[in-house]
Amino acid sequence: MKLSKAGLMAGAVAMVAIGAGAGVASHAAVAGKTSTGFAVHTVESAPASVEAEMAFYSENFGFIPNLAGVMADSPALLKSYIATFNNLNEFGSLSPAEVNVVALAISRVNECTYCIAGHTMVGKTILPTPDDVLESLRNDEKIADKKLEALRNFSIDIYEGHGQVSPSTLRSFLRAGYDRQQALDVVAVIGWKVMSNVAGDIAEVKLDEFAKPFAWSKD
Amino acid sequence: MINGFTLNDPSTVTGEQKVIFEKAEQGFGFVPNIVNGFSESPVLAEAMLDLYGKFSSTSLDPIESHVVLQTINVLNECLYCVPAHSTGARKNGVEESLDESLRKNQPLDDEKLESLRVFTSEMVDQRGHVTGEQFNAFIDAGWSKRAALDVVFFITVKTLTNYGNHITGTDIDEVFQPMEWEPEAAPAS
Repeated sequence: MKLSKAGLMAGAVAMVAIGAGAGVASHAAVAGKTSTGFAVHTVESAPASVEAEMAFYSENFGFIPNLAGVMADSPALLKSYIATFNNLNEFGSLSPAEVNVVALAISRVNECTYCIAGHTMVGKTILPTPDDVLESLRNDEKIADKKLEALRNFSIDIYEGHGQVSPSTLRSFLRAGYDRQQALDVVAVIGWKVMSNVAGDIAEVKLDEFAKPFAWSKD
Repeated sequence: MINGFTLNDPSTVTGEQKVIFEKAEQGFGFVPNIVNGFSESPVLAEAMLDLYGKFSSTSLDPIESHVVLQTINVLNECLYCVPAHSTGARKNGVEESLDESLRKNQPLDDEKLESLRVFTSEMVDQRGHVTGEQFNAFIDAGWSKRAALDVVFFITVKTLTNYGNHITGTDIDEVFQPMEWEPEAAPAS
């Protein structure tokens, strides 16, 4: 995928607009803690080495998403999270919707409430994804589009097998119209989501106000 | 190599692949087969190299980092990564006996390192859904919340390399071959 700077900005503006529609007037920049005691950093409280990453969020979104505030406590983690997204954007062979399909499929396996809401919103803005596809992913159901379903299936198989996939699983992925480069790109998207899903889980990161319209729960 | 993946001749690669080979050369002193095989996906190769460059930004020292990384390699049964990390760690002064325990997935003598090993295993096996009791045991052993997030970072590093290697079936570089490793056979049922 290759999102232009303008495309990214438009997506971010749309996200903030959805938040405004949900009644998010302002975002108090007060450092806090999650229920499991992890720091939620602000631009001011974050380690100096992640200054650029925090600026990326405040400039594009107008505030620091809770998950970024938590990840900032581990500069290696936050830097890697943003670097991996940039790599996907710069060199990726998957389309924006395909990246979001993998991201949401993995978030659903991990039952990451923060990330499922987040990637639903992302699917309506930065990585445009059809509504019925988002719905299937949220419900852990087959996607009607056969090619995207093959992608969802392949991603879940890799993740559940800790990387071990049978030759036949890979063959069905390739037969659906994907290539070997895309198989490895899927691994990069999985890594990207391991960071947010697992950090979101252990820290019990709360939903940002602007993502509340897309809240997800298992039942 | 498996599944149609191949190793490229470093003297013939061009474009983004060439950039990746140069970065690997700078970081590792040579182009390991893993980077060579991954370079078919510049995203995966670049992400791996980026993350390998961030070990020193974590709160874990090189021995602690090795405990986390090797524990994950063994759990994910990465035939390429276990020998690669044994070779690197031993060269950098990690005690052989420590690495041997990790390769056999056995408890460590040092209590604090053992709690790091156990927490890492739980995080991998339970996909981050650790219980309050497991998390508190980690914190009570003297680790910070930042260290818990750093473990997430290392799990990501190994998600890229362990999973990627399972797909490409990377041939083990000659330099890592003395440290070859096989998973323990599953107990007969």
